[in-house]
Amino acid sequence: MTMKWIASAIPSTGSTMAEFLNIPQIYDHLELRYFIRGSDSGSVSYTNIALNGQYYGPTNYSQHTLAGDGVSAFNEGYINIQSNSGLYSPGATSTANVYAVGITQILDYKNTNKFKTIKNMHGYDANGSGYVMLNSGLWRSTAAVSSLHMINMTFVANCRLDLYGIISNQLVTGA
Amino acid sequence: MGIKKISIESIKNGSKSNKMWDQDTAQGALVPIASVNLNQNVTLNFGNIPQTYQDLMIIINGHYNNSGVLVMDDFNNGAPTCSFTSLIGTGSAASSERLTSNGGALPVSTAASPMIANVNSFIIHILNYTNSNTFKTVISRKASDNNGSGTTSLQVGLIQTTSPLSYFKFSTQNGANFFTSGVATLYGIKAGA
Repeated sequence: MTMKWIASAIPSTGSTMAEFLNIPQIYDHLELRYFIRGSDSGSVSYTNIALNGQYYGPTNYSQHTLAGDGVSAFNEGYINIQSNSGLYSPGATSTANVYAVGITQILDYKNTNKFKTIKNMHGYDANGSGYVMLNSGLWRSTAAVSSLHMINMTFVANCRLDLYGIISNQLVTGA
Repeated sequence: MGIKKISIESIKNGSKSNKMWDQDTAQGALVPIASVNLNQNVTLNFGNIPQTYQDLMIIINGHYNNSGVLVMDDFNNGAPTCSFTSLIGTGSAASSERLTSNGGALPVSTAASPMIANVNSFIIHILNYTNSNTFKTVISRKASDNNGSGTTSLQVGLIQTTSPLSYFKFSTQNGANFFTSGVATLYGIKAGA
């Protein structure tokens, strides 16, 4: 396996979207690694992930989440929604300098014969509050993934997202 | 490893077979920095960590002699306040655990999800570890399965330091508990060409 950097996005303070466009179709899988915090009111900012620019439009996403809030485990599920949602991050009143992190994988992202699954490992801890979560989203489209957006959150300074491609190297046997 | 013929033209124009093994395809963005072979280890240290990567990833696959916890500590040889929120599965129930304001140590296996006297696997990510404006958030997965017992967990931890991380260690915090065998490897993940 080889991991290749594709691009980085550093959202400007106050922006409400981070995006990766023209994703190369030369890898086997995609991995997004992000470090984020929102300035939305309250202690939690909610952010969503959308593919190929499909957000606030077709309701062809669904999701499942298994999460912990430090007290109990809980799960959430939504069908026919407009993006892969439910990623909780620190908000305006959360402890200063605390950021959420996450690793999102989209396997076989350029396959045009099947729907795409978005797999997230995500969370933040604010010393007495916070969430940790496993999240999966289904995007009911067979289109190859060519763009990725993180939306619905107002970014603060020091946020960044890095997109990588993963190649499953063939084992050369010398034949 | 097999050796494939490579032409002068392919060297000049940069093209190559996707079956060709070379330094470029071997390394990529995920770069091993250091490894520790585990042999009666109560602690294992990672120092002089290069500040040239975007993220760090630590993989530990170790056989433990007992049931107990493992913590990350001595961050930059200091003792910042740490805390965590975790999600735990026991095979029969899911639960969540929290620790707040812990002096100097971030547990990555905990009272509710301890290591077992067998093989324990960890993948620990520290994102944006060189940022000097933010606290450090650590996300980790642990698997400790012993055919009928054990736990799995996903945890997010907070290290309240804005200093870039250049040193930390792992500790069992108990001289009677140690890794008998296995390996721990620190990787850097590069962003940028």
